[in-house]
Amino acid sequence: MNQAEKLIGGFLTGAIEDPTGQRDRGASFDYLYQTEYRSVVALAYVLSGSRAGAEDIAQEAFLATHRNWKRIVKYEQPGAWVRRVAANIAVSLFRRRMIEARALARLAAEPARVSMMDDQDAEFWAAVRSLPTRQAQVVALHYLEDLPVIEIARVLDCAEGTVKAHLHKARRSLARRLSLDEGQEPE
Amino acid sequence: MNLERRARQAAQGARASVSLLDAPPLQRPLRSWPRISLRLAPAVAVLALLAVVLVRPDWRRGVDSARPAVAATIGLSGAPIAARFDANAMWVLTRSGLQRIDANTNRAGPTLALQRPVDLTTASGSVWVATDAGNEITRVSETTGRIVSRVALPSLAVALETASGSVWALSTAPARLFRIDPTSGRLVATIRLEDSFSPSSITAAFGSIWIGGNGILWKIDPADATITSRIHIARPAIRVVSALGALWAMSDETHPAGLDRVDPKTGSVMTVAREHDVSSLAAGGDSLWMISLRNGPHLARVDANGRVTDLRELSGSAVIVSGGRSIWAFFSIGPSVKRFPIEDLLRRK
Repeated sequence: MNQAEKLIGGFLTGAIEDPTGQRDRGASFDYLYQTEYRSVVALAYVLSGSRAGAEDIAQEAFLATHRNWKRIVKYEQPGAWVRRVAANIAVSLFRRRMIEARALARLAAEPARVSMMDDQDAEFWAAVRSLPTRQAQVVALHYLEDLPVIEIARVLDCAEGTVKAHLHKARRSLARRLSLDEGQEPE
Repeated sequence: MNLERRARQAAQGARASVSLLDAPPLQRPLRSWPRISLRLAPAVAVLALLAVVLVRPDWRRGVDSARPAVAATIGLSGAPIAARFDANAMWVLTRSGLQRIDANTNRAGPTLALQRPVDLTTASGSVWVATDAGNEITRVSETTGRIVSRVALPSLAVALETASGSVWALSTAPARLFRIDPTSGRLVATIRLEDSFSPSSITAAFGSIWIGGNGILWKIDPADATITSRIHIARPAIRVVSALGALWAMSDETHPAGLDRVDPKTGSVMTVAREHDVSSLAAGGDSLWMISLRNGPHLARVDANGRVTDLRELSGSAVIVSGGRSIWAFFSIGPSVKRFPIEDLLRRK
């Protein structure tokens, strides 16, 4: 594995690259949870647009991971699985509504912990959410998570060519919608 | 500015918004039930029954509980995504696919596997399912539960509705409404909505199709597929239902307080039930029902003036759908659905 692959692997897996060397299931799940929590919340936030619901979406994704941990721990990249679940929950209207409702009930007692973005950034992510769901997921993983096409394909469980096509269409739509110069296609 | 630069900046902003977060303790589920030896099982069952009878006095004295009874609690194959009642059955889209619940027996049938389902409607003896696996709608026979055909669309459908003998599919990017003839399974009309509009709900009512989104409620004549008016509402409408001679719109989590009551004739808008955080809405049995989060999740009834009567506390947040003279509350944790007979709910005033 070269250095770049290792970095990407570490970013996505956590459990596999556990610096403590612990490989037992409980410890490595906790390590995955601790190291990946923030980035999964950010992914949920940009895809759902819900500051209140983002943490609940992340919790639900990690819970699903925990339930299936015996299976998922054997995967090359457990972090990719969590992201896939979070990205799917975040774009599903019905489930998002339920999660937001739960979050709202809780927020009556405590404020949202996720900070607000400035207007320009919020406008960009709102434009991303108006894209077809697959395109929105690809854009979020590409820009927010800084993942290359091959890793996005792994997270979303689809072909590299599909990711490239989604990214191309999404960039064109976003540039038009936000009146921006599309610029050069990323590698 | 260049898209690439703007995107990187926005990503930086999103990361900064979570930079101070620490991972809270994971709300782990309870451990699974311990395995009981077969020899002990009858004794455990008798003890459990005794405990239930002693703890629930209303079981001994009959059904006169202080709150409306649940007619049934039904387990689902996956977290619910959308549901619709037709042909004496509740059709439920879960993350695993399409499931039919028989309204007579309250039993859920097997799941027809579908990739990434988004929404469903029913028409001409079929269930029509939009998925985000491709720009198409899958048609499933209500009789056989099998896939009959697929309808290709120019873009992804995110919501479906049935009106005037047609299936209508709403697309967000670009903002379009597609009309499909359910007999031929062909796309017969496309209505272009403004590109800046982000549609999020579609409802058939008062002889028109209504599309809610950011700040506008579009009225569309299904006869000739033309836009007949735009009603300006202050908040994004993520769900619109018709009941009690009006349209009722609930908003998203950034504007959860109250409901917007829209007069379909004059287009006048009034916000009611402001003290309630509304998280779900359904019309059924000549009434309007909602989930209010004011004092924890409650199933409540709304009258024509927007007055709210709390009926029953729920164990968690739910999305409600009406059908078969019942209100069905769908829970993603479980996942399950509880069925409340409307007759029983109406008795509790």
